Amino acid sequence: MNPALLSLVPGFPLLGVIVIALLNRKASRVVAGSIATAMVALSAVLSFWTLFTLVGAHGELESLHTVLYRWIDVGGVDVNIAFMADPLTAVMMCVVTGVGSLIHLYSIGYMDDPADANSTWRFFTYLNLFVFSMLLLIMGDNFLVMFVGWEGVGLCSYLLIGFWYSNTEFAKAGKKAFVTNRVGDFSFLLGLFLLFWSLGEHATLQFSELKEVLGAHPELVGGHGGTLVTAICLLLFGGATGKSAQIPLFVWLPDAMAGPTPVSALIHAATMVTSGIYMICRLNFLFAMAPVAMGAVATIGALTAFLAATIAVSQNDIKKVLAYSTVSQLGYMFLGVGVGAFTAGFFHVITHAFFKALLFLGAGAVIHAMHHEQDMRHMGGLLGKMKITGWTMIIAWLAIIGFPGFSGFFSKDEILWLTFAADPAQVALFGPTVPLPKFLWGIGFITAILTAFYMSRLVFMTFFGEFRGGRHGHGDDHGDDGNAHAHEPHEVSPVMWGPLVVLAVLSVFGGLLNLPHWLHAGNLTGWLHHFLEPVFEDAHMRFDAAPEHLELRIMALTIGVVFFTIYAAWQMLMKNPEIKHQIEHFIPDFAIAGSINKWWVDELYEFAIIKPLVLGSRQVLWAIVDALVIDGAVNGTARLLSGASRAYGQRVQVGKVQVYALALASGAALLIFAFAVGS
Amino acid sequence: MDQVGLYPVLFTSALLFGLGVTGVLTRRNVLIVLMSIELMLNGVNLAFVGFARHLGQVDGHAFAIFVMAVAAAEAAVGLALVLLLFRHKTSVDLETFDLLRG
Repeated sequence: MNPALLSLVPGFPLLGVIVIALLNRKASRVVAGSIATAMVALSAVLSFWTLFTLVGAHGELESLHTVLYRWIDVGGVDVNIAFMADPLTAVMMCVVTGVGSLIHLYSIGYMDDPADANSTWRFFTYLNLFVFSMLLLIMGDNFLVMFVGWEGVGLCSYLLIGFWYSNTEFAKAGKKAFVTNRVGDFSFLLGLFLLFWSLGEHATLQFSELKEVLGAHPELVGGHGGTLVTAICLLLFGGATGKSAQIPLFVWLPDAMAGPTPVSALIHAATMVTSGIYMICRLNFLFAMAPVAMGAVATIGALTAFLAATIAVSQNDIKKVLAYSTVSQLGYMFLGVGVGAFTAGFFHVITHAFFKALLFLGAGAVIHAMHHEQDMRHMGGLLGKMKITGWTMIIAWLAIIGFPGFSGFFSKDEILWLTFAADPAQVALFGPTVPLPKFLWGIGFITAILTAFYMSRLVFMTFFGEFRGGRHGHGDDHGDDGNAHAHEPHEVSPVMWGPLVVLAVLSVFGGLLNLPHWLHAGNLTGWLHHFLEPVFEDAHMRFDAAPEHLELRIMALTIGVVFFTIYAAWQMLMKNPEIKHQIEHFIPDFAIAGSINKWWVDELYEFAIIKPLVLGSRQVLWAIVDALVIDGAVNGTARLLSGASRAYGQRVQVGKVQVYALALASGAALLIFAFAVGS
Repeated sequence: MDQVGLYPVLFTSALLFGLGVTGVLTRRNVLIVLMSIELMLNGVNLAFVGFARHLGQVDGHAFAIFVMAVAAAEAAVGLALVLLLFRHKTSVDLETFDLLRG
């Protein structure tokens, strides 16, 4: 493959943006959607071509590289708009464009509300712009191109969450996402500046050069475990917490469901939120130098996974449950990359993209069929009414809870096992000897149980039991035409269930990408691991060579507990609601209220950050600094001048031509005198 | 003429210019002021011509001719202005023209 073709991968979606934006209202839903889908599909074809080129080279070819445009060339720093595709990028490109094109296709069916007819072109423009930004983020060969994409996905996220901006709540959700992301982006920028500054005369923004420079001069960033490199990594990770919705910046993601459901699937499940993990994987050689930062990444990841899972168990809005489950799964990914299992973390990115996109699209199909009903308490028994959606959702459910054989099982199990086996010295948040990995494994294990519970709850409440919909006033905009079937949930159109089926197949077989060694699957064993090895090998991560039976026992324990949880959930929710009440007695009221109210994190931020900020801005910055100091200085200058002119200036302006002439003549005389004396 | 040196010419020029300045600054009659300006211009002309002779260059002569042309134009415009001022105020006394007072 000619490397120059790499530019076309982000080029097609950009073309789509331009074409659809120029057509604007003239492009109907189907036209705009078809153009958008076709553009992303073309990118997907090129992405797979890139992947197969790299696979076919068998390690002979390290990466494809192309320079599109010389951007900045000043003072020894040379930054180009250049794209690079190494194995990590190639896999990510395929996930983004592959899952992306399926979601685009699905959106054509989903956005059929007549109220949106005039704005679907806007929707597809944003979707294509998002894919373009995401591709810049992952394909850029230097920090600046990556940062343009990094900001671009934030912008598109804002535009798409606030797509129905006439609803103030939705517009606010978009704003919240944007502002929260900006906080993270600021941290990312600071980390970037610190890194650039510390490199001194070796300064470079290009990833491959950075790797060489750090390999040759690790002392520039303080060497292995140095304070400087730790600070850099923590700041960069701060950026990742914003994009990838980790503590403390995860609050935007649950609100991001204000956008149309395909947006949740594309941005807030499959692609944008994984950019933080991608960034850490890309900079694995840097993070490997900072064990304390690695420990922080893993700990934050595990805690986020747990916290989000505790919230997800009590939410009733189907999209809210999925949103918190995304936050939780992202926590798993950070746990993986944090303990040094970069491949495992990235593997979970891929499988999660499959089943979470499927879950969101399935939820979208349910919401679509239920006429914008999102409360699971009004669903139930939908499996009989929506066979394809129901069964694909069940596959996604099995994948996310780690049912043996499904894709999520392999990726999650690998993360948990490698967390258990990680060398404490490389996750040294509290010192190199503290067995932090074992503790984090414990959190991950409990989270796996919670995951099994809340996902089972979602599936049982939505697809099993009695249909609880059709409440009073529901669907009355259809009019009382006596056609009861118009109100009944029904299966969605093929353009919507087609992508569901494809994603379901991927959710089942995604595990083939990286089969564990104990399956003894020959060439398929650890395929992804071997493929990504050139990217990650310099990080030199160590894991205990524990006996195989320990790994299998831990895995069996996880599976057993997960099975029991599903059974318990079935008993609690479907068979015998009495058990549920009895169990609730055992849980402290505080915990139940905390879960329902999302641990009051939004309220805490409101109270501790937003209120003081608004109050300070209004009472101090506005009332004192702006109104008194700045306005005072500006108005004071004007008042001083006009006062002085009125008092003194007026006397000079006598209006008599001879006085002016005298001033002129005196001035000239003075000048002549000055010249005469001077010479 | 050759016997007259540069200094007497410059002295005469300065005297003419000074007289002109004095007239401009002190006389009340607009017409006299205009005539004084002509005096100043001719004082400058004399200096130009004197220097041109002294340095043996033709530039000063050319300048003098230009100044005469500009002076003629200025006189025409000046007299027109005086005429309009007189119609407005029925006076040629500069003291009465103070519309620009701040």
